[in-house]
Amino acid sequence: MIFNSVIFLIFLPIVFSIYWLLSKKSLKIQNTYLLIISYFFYGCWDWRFLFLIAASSLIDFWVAKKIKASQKKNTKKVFVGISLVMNIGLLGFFKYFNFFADSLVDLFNLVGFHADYTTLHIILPVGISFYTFQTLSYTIDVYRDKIEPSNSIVQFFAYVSFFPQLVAGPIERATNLLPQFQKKRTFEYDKAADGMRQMLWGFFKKVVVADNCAVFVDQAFADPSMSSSGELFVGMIFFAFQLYGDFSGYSDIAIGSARLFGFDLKQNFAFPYFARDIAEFYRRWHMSLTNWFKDYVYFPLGGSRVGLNKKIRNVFIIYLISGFWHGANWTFIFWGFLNALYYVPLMLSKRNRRNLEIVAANSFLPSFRQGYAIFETFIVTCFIRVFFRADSIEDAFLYIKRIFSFQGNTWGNLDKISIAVIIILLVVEWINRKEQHGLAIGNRPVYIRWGSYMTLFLIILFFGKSSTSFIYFQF
Amino acid sequence: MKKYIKKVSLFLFVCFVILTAILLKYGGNIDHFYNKFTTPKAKSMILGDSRAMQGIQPEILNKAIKSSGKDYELPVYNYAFTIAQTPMGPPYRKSILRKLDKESKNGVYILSLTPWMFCSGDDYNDDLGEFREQDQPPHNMLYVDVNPNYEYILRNLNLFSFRHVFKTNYLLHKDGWMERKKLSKDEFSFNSRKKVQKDMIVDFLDYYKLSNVRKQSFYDLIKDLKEHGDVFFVRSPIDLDILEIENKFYPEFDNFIDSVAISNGIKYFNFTRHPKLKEFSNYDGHHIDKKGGELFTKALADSILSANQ
Repeated sequence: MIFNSVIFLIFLPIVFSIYWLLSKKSLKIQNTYLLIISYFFYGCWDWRFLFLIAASSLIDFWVAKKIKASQKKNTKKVFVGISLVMNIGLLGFFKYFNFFADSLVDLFNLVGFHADYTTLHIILPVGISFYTFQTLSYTIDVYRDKIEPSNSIVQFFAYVSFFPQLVAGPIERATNLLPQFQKKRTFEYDKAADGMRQMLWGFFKKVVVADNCAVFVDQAFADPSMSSSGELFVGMIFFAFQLYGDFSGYSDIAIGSARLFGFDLKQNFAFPYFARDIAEFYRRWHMSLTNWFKDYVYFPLGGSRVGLNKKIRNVFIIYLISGFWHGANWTFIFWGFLNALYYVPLMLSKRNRRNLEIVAANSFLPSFRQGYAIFETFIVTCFIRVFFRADSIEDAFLYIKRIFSFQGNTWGNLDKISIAVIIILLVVEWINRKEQHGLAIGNRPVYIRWGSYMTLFLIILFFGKSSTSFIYFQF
Repeated sequence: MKKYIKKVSLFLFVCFVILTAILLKYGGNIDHFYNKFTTPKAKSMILGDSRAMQGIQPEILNKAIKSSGKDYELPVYNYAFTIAQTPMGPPYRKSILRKLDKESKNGVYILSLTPWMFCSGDDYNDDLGEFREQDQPPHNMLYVDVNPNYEYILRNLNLFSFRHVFKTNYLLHKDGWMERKKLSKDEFSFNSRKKVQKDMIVDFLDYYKLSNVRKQSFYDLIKDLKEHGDVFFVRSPIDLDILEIENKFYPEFDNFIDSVAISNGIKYFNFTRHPKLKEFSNYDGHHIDKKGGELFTKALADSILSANQ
């Protein structure tokens, strides 16, 4: 079941109605009900992997209790180690086993040993990268005494499997989400109404922006040698909007859905295409992952409070791991490497924390300098993203090389609809850039609100496309 | 909560009204098959694949039958789809019987036939009841005669393209005939379209195999339809090179249809041997265009009417 399907549009109101009608009096019923529907939601993909998520949850529930009960630091370490090995082991087996095996064979062949190996057919369980990180954060936070271990197995299981964010995030920390499962939710009109608005905006971003751009992007990346420089350039720019529309659209629908049930998930995208440098960009892009790496990898390595060499090393580690998290392919690792290369000069010149506030916070339009910085950041990240999208590093270099070969003088069959919806996206998000999401218009006059809802509905209806998945499901 | 439900209901109601208006007014623009499920149960039908869906125009047939004074029960609806959806077989038979008005006693049923309609895909075992078409319309539809048809939109939303309200190349008429619009008539465009179709048909050679289950279902369908009127077989006019591929795949096809026709007292009109074959113009080698379709349907109507004289 995916968000942009008719089944979900039927599933959500039914689940919502039963939730508030039957379970409003008891926290236990609320949580049990959410757990059942979350498992049902996940089971719609492949019920066999329910055992995996249940086993992962059970072990971390038990480990957290053991950590808390242990008096000795070393015993605590052993238990947190069990959690780390188990979660990273699961991820490693399902996501990276073939990658390591293939790479090892390639290495042997490179040094002259003949090695042969048949790749195992391992199915990647949907959402495994997200929920393993979520449960890991729980055991680590218990180990660090940031949170008490959960006493209720239902609460904990419901937290791990909470259906709006189970498949592609946001990666919710136990410190934020688990306490919300520990107190009874009451219906709040403003929260639910804003949740609906955020969902509507998410649908627009996914089915209109991302899925329209996808058509051009797929053509451009399928065989770069068949496209003109102009087409490849547009394909690269459209990919930026496809990825953003797809993933931030998913996050908006997830956060909006969660609000209908009385939960507040963390903001996952804060208008990253208005960022003025790469540091700001990643503070605004997939924030739940960035913050996870920052808290559980970057800071323990010393962060930026170490010597120059270690500082640079830490930046590379964080971006390389981030790349590898996205997929078992050298393209993602190289993409991470390029991001680190782009980031390091900024850090060395101590300009990486220059842009903490949203651009043009006190004016409607940005200054020329700000506008140029936004443009430059956007274009550079677009070029880096070619490695994210291409099938291999060679393909990515070929793609970029062809852009600069200035071959062919056409822009291809440019879809005017894609351009128009990208403009709508940028204008609306610019207007609401200080808010939590693009359609946070709860305080605007009624005619603006209802005008926006109906306009978006018509745009989705007339210009939406159907796709069968979200890009980030594969991660 | 009441306020919330009231506002959400209002929003959904307005969306629902807009959607309904579009379905009623532009159902034929926004989906290739939607209109076929919005007309009443049919007393007479055109059945088959895309050649029949685009080539046989019910309006012309209805006029010709009416003016001849024949007492066939009208109107005729075009309930043909595409080869991917409606080869002969239990699913199509079931859907035809759903669409059929059981009260009809003197209907006319035109079965447009091709060799591919008696085949199964290589990766399906129809002896086990596996049919490649079973998840698609019309087989995923329970209600085939309601207007507006919300079941269709719920089950097949991915097939809709609402932007075609403004501009469309395919218009599905209310009577089920699909009109191909805005065709470039130059030779280059024709050849490119034909190449795509020809390549597809060449691929069929490897993918398809004749199926006894589908043949049996064809016999059952004839029996069902004969209870409600007259049945006619037709093979649509197509370009000779495409015909050659089909004959290579199933050299005995015409003999097979002839024998079934004779044993059931049914007329078989084979337009691939028609003297005016070239006048039935097509736009890609085997799908007849609007003008060719007018001539073809008239010729078919004449054949049907003269068959019973």
